[in-house]
Amino acid sequence: MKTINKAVATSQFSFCKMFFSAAASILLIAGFNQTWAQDAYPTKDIQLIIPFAPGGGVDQFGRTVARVLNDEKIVNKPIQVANKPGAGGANGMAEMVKRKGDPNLLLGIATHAVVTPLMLGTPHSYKNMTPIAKIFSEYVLLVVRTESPIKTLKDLEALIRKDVSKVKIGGASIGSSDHITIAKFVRAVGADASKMTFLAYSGGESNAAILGGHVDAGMGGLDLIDLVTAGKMRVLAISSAQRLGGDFKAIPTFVEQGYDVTHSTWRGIFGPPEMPAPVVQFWRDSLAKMVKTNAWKAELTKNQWVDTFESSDAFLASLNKDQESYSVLLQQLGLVKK
Amino acid sequence: MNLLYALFGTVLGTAIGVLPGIGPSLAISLLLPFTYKLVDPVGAFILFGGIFYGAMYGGSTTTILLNTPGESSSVVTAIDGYRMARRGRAGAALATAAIGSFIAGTIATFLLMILAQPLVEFALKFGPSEYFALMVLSLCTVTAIGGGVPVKAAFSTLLGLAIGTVGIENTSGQLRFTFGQAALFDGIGVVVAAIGLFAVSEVLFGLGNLRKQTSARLIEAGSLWMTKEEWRRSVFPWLRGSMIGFIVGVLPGAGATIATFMSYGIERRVSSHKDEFGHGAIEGVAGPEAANNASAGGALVPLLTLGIPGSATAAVMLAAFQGYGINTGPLLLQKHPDLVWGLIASLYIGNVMLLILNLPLVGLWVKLLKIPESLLYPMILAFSTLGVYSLGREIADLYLMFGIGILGFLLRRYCFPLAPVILGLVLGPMLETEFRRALLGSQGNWMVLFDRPMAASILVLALIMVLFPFISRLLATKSRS
Amino acid sequence: MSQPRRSVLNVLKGTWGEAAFTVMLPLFAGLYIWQAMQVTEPPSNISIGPRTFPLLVGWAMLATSLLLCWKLLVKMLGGQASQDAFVPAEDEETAIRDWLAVAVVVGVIAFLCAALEPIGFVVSIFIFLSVLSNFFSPRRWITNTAISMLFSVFFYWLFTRVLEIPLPNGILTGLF
Repeated sequence: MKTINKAVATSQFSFCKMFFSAAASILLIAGFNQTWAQDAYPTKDIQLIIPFAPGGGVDQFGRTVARVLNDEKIVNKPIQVANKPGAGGANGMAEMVKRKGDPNLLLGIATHAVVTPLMLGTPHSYKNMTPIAKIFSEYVLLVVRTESPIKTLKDLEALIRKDVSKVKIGGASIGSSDHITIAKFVRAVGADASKMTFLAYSGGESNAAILGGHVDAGMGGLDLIDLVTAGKMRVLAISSAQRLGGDFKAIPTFVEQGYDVTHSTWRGIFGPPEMPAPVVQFWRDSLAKMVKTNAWKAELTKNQWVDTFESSDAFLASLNKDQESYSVLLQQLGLVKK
Repeated sequence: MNLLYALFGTVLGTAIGVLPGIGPSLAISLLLPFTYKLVDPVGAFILFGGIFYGAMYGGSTTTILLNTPGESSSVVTAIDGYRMARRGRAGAALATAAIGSFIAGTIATFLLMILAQPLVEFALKFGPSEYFALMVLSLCTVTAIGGGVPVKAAFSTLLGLAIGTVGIENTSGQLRFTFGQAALFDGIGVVVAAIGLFAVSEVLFGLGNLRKQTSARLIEAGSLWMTKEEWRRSVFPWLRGSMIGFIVGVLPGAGATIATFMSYGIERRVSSHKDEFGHGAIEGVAGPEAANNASAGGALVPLLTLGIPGSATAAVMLAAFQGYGINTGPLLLQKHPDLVWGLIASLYIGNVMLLILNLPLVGLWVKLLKIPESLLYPMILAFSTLGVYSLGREIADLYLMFGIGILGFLLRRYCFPLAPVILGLVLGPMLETEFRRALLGSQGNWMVLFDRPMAASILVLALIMVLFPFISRLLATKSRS
Repeated sequence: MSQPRRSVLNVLKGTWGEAAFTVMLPLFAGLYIWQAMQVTEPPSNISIGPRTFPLLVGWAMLATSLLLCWKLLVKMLGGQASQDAFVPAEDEETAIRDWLAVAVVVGVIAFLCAALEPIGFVVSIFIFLSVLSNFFSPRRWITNTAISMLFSVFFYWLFTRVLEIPLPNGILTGLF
């Protein structure tokens, strides 16, 4: 608790009162020395910032990671989750940058670390933070309601080829995985993605629109499988590179149906900029240990998450790849000006 | 044991509802980590059901007593509830809210049990055109609020709509009116605006007269119980409010705020005490409070039948289902009947507990008004600060709340009604989104808004709502001559 | 409702204040319209862009506010000419008898916003509550101060310890 306070204090002093900042940095250095002298990081509670409101997907991810790390005794100091919602994750990233070098601070975020600065022009992205690890990925499904005349991906392709603007696709917000994936499909079919009619819904409202036939086809997360097994919806394709196991075994990918479309949303953990190297290593090791526990594997199946653990350079490399593909695609969609 | 969870849930829910700024969704999501560890799924959902209804009811307490609604769905209660309190009928207003909530909760749970399947089929028929028509209809309820100066009410509504356009817009993802401030990207929060407009401005008025007033602004005198007349006038609003609330609640794209405003508008139109509205008509409390709780029950219909959340709280409950590894959707009832029936049973029990708990508390709540005003008003501000800050831990929200508070103060000073601002703010984004969704889907053909039978009939209803005063005046003059 | 007759001075004050406020409204509407025109139109095929709705709202706001100005002008020039447009307000609802108090409250609120994070929740809320309550009822200063203290400490404890919502500690960092 104390170090969080110290850290909070540090950040506030540093931009509030100049003369306090000197004292604060002495405090911080003192905290450091203490930490390393005892050689048993962490000595203080850890704060894990979630840049979204409680109850959403990213929040669930952060709280699960914090719980498993503590329950499995991989990290012996409590990890406290603090929600800092707003501006597509930008508020949380700004807080990280403000508290640079803080060894007891983490951020749990998704693709927003790449997309939000591109779309909204906010100042901080993954480049301003210390990437620690990618934990898991989620894929999206392309679905239609059972009554729909669209039976296969070929049927949808035919409709899109005829007039892309007449095909109504429902899904989550503009710039989300749902939007990006269908844009990739439209592009793969050879149509102009910026001309497509994408209706953005929030929460589960898109599912209601798909079931009610207010859109021709819809995008959604793997939780749609419940509606599929109940016979209300039909899946045309999944955005993973290979077929998934379990309930999803029967679902064909875009790739095997001959379309070059893959897409995943990752969830990952970041540290603040200039986080001390030994601390970064500690978290990489701890998270690597965590994803091997049975408790974590149980969470993965329960939540339909797909393990895609990556750390250090591999994570950074995939972030850079994301950055490139997103900026190209968002430009083609007309969402980012060049 | 489950009874204990239900009791704990309702107590906690009521407490949460009373504190401004902390809503049921935040409370449930904060409790989730504890419940995963301590409680089995059935117990957890019984707990959540209690919180859900408890918080819906608790919000009316501060609204009636202190004119400080903590969320948008209690805003409409402030109009007449607070006036009742000022006339010494605070006890009756709280009682009608409590009994109305009980009746509405019970009716909603019953309808949820027997009508869930056909209702969800109906809800799925609602496309953008139907939602657009529904938003127009609810916007027309401001004509019932105006209180004598229609132009001012119209301006208040437009101001609310304008405030609602701030932030990232849904349909094409553009930023509007943000002036580069990240704090404005997500728009101005309804809770921040409601607390600012009502609580802050109320405190400014209260303290701005405190040292020079002849009699206390807050009156705690008066009988606590409802009179026979008040019972008679409450019964039908409770029933009508329950029906409206439940139906609106079932629609995933609408919400409790719309239900309460609609109920208010209808009560104003059908009441034989029209001139009392705005000055403490008990129907104006009974109807909306019932609608509020019934919509909470209605929101569970798409959640339990299709796994589609109809409100923010239902969304958190969905996350909780998934956290327990329970797959929601149409198969929920087949796979986990114990859970669904446990939840429904707990809603009944929670409702009874809410009533038993809250009727005796009415006396206690009214005693709140005995706190000296010089302490009570600053405490309201302190609570507001606490509530708004804990929502996002963002100082900018505090500045926003106080800025809006000063705006609310000026609006009130010059007799602009405040409730339409909140209605506009809540409806604006939905109205625009549905409008643009409809036109996007129809390639810009405006007829899409009118050529579907359900949408057209709702629009006709809206027209009747607006023209009703003129028609009734016309009929009155005719019959006189 | 029985209300004391307002003095002529009061009516004047009220009307001029109202005039100033009402004139601001069309200005605000104009500003809003101007800002709405600055919104980026996305290049994709969206028939109704992000400007349309705000512009509709803006023009409607301009029209209603001009109507309000006109009605006020008529009222100020012609006395009771349009009685129904400006219902004589219930005095207790819209009157402010103590502008100094309003100024003090606004000032203390501004202090709270600025001080909450740097000096922390407990101290700033304590100062906020005790200053306000003692300003309005100085005779009960012991109760006021004690309750302010209790309030700030209790809610700090409730939020940070029970609900686990972090609140700023400020200058008391390290004491808890």
